[in-house]
Amino acid sequence: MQTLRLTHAAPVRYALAFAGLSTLAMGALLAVIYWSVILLLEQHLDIAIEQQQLALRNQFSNDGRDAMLGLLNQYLGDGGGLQHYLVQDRSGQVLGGDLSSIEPSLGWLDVTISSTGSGTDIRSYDLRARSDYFDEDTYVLVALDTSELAETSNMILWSFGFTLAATIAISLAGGVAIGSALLRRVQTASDAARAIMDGDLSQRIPVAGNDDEIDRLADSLNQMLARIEELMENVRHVTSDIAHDLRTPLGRLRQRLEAARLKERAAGEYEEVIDSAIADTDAVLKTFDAMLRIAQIESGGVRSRFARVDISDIADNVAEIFRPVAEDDGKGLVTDIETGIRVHGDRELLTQLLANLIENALRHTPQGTTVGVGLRMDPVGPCLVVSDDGRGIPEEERHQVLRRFYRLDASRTTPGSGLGLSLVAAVTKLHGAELSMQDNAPGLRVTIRFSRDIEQSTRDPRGATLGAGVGTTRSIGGQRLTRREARIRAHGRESGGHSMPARIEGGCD
Amino acid sequence: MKILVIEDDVETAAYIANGMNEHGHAVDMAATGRDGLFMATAGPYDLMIVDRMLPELDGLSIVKTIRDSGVKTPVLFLTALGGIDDRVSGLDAGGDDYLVKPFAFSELLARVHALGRRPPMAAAETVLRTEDLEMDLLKRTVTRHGRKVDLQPREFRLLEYLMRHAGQVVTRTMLLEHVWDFHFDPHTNVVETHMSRLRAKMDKPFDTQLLHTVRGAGYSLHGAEEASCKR
Repeated sequence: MQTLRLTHAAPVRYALAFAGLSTLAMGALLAVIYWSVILLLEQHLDIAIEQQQLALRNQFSNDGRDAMLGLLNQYLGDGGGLQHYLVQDRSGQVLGGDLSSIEPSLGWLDVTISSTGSGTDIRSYDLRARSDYFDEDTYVLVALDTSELAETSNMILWSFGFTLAATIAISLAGGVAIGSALLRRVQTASDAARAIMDGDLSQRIPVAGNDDEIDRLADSLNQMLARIEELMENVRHVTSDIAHDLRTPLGRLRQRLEAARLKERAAGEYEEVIDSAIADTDAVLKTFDAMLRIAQIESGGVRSRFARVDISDIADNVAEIFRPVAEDDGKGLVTDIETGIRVHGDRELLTQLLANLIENALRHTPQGTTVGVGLRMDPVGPCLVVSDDGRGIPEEERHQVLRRFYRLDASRTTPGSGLGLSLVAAVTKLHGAELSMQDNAPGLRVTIRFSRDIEQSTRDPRGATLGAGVGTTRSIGGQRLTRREARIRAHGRESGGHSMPARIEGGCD
Repeated sequence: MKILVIEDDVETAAYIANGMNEHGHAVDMAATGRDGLFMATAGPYDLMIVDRMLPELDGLSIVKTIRDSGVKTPVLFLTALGGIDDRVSGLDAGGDDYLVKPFAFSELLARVHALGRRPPMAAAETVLRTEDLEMDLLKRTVTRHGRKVDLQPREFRLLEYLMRHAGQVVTRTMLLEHVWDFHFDPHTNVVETHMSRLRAKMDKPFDTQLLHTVRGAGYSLHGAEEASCKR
């Protein structure tokens, strides 16, 4: 089973393939070397033979056959047993040299000729030879023993064969070793994954610590696991929160119905009970509706409906709608909204986002509070700010309030589902925007930064200059500022002189 | 009115039918999409209430089909999805209004009345009148009993919507959707606030009350003598 798995494991397959390829390459290299060496040696052999033949021919033509035979014998003496000669006449009679006579043929020969002599002295040589008639009666054959060449060649072949075998052995062993090391690491990751699937979400894939691809893979997987664990934790939280938040109104509903059932009542009383029961049920349904809406927004499907929307227009509208609500509540609402800012998004959801933020500011602040709505084009993109000068949210709880059903202790008693800001967070995320909460000293400031719309700068040059002008000097938009001041002043009169909350215009920094 | 209800949930269908009968409307019911389409094309109806999710043929396809064949009967979609996309896709398919289940019957009734009495598109009115209240849509002015009533643009829109549906009950949700373009339910009393401001301007200074609160349902703009008959 283990071997079967080994041959099926990807690392081992790669090792085998690698060994095969390196063997092939090595073999080709060795073959080229072998053939070059042999060719070179043979050429050297041929050159040596040619030179001797030339020397003998010169001797022959200058000083005659006997002088040539003398030189030949001298060569035989120096040759160390490697050089062999044959001089024979037309009839085949051996005139000189150490070889027995052959059937004469001309040019280059590879022959086997036995030596002169008798009995056990006779040896036969594998020769490379060149032969020619120096004159009609003098056939001269100059030869070199090729047995040494053959030996050399054998030696090379042997060593090359050994090298090749070693290559195969090493690359196979190395491949298998590396492969199984890899396999082990993959196996540990796989084991960890299995443990996680079995329910232990705190498990992580071990990281070897050498910062290689596998470590990075393990790292990515671990991050993914952390995210999954966080999400699972969220789901658990939300589930228990839902159960808790919905049990309360349902329990109250049940109590009321039961109390009504206890004794006979007048018709009007029943009507009252039924009305309040309907109201309780509506509250529960509303919570469900908000949850479904958030879920739908989070799924991202709405994005297909995105279009270019004038967020300045939305902000103006929503602020106008809520201004009387704020005033009736003894609060103020001031705006500082740049015109003509557009984002890629959904009008309905952005309207709800702004409405939720303003309502949130109105509902959790004491009388006399001023809520500010600011929108402007920053160099990096549109920036929406909703601020108040109320109690604010303690820093450590700021990120918590975005969680579903989370409510600050102080606002436990005010009505609401605790889903308003979760929806704001979901809509923000859907639009690729960034939400942050700061201390407005006093109060809370919620900032939503949209990413810069590329078309904004090309299609609407006015918007672009406004955007560029914001960072540098306020006097560029002088007219705009005047308009804004006029609006604030007019509003201030209307609302009984509410002042701007501390930093409504410095929101985006 | 003669109303066709295409709804597969027996309880909801009966709930709608009983309620409509009580208010003097005749109701035909279809439980599957195929039956619904057949009945919609066969008989003339004043209004159709169509569930989005139906067996055999879904509500969207039914409405697309009958619109393609030239039937102009107003359609109100019902859906359990409560989704953001559903409203738009429903209206795109040819629906005229849209209501999310579960709904209050008063809401459905108000919307049915609003749809059923929609004036034909061709009549481009320039002046709206209810009793001694007069609205000039071109000059954007409102007078009551000959006296000018100063309204903010949004209050003007609110009053215009009420006047166009004079004599009918207009629900909170209908106002939110049509006057403020809010397709969600705000937690603060936006509608009540704006209503009381409007009332202070066009009702309080005068002898008779035109703007009435209908308990448990919404608001209605009408004179004294038509109070009973139009509900």
